[in-house]
Amino acid sequence: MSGIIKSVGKAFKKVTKVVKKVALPALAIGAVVLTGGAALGALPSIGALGAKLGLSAGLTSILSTAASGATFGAVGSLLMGKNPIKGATTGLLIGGLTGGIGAIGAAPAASAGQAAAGTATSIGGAAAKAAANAASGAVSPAIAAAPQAIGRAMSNVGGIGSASPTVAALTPAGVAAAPTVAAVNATGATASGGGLLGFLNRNPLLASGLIQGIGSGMVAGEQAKEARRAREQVEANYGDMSALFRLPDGQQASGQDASARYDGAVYGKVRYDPQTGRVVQRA
Amino acid sequence: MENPTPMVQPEQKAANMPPATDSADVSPEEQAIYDMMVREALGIIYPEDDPGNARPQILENLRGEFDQQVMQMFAQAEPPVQQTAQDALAVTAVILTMMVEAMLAQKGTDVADDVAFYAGAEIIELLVELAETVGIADFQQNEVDDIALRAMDLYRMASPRVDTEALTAEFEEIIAAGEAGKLNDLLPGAEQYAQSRGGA
Repeated sequence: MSGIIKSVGKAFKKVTKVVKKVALPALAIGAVVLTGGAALGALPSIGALGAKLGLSAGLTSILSTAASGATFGAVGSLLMGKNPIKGATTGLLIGGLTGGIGAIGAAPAASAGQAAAGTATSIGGAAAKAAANAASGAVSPAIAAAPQAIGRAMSNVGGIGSASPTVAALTPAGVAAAPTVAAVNATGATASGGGLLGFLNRNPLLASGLIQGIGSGMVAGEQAKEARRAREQVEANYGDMSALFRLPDGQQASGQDASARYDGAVYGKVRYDPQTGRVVQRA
Repeated sequence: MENPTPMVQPEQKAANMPPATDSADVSPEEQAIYDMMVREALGIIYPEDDPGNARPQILENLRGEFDQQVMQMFAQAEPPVQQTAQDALAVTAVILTMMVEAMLAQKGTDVADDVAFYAGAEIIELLVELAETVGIADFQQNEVDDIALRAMDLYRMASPRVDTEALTAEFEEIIAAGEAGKLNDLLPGAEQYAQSRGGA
């Protein structure tokens, strides 16, 4: 990943319209989170050190904001605390919390390997699980990426050693002592294997179909929307008489009265004579 | 199981937010891949056979219920991933973004870093809308921004595409701009925004 700084200020046209958006200056600070975090290893520590690093006041301010923003988790309100589940969806959410998703969890996916890996608590164990799944050939690309991601994460632990001299000189000793592989946070993890990834892990064949089917589903959905829009346009066009021809205001039809001109009695007195090629009076 | 679909609302301008306009810097190809990325994410959130309702697994994630594997991917996070609505949304957004990247890669579409950066931000916004609609949380604007920052830090730890050396070199550019007093050129609005948030 590179080129993040150059991309700051780009304005992609959004696909959807939502009420709350990420502020553009916050995205610019996000670039600092990505680059500074990669360069310095432990962004929170850098943010706490502030001006001691000898950086400019402006950058110190940005880093402080980046660090506090990116680490709000420690002070954020708890899911079951300050953000109570609202009334309208209480049943849905409580159902989910108490095992409503258990039906999916009971899907037949408990192979011996998965069962063994399911108890793994180390990154090595997870990597082994992912590798085993990959070997079976039935795992989705997203899941197959897990060992790569974990491997990258582990290599990032030693990333400070590969930092350039400038950044290395700025790196405080405290950052250099960043923890290797922290234990999984017990408060954040659920052993049930919930959520989308857990679902896909337990249903690798379904995951494969899901991943492949989503693209075509989206295309079909878009086509359906187009067809609906076209139908609505047609209905709008013919919903009243406004599309029919009318004389402009102030003008009236002139000439012979139509009823007299096309009177059947007149037309009944003549006929076409194919031998002479003329219209002649009827006998 | 039913849950409401977020209502599509007219665009509103948040405080301290410059107006979003189409940029000449964005090529049609970049915009097309951006659109694909966001639409693939929408396809995951809202299943094809029941597009009116969000996928239950996504709602589980937004409630902070994650697979053990996910938590291990973010084991380096400092502070650790917490059982908060903000952290849950940040982790969900990162996983979703990485899944969409993998799906597009499977189709042979290479997603540029800056496209992933901005599409990831829109995915966060989609999830904020969903979380608020189903009543999981109600976020303030600064919380939405913080979720984005947290998500980027988590993405940095977990994504296989992160190149530490390249990002380090970019950070040096930022340091140099700071020393030259040109931070606002490189990161428009960032310094002012940081000060408004109480930055030193």
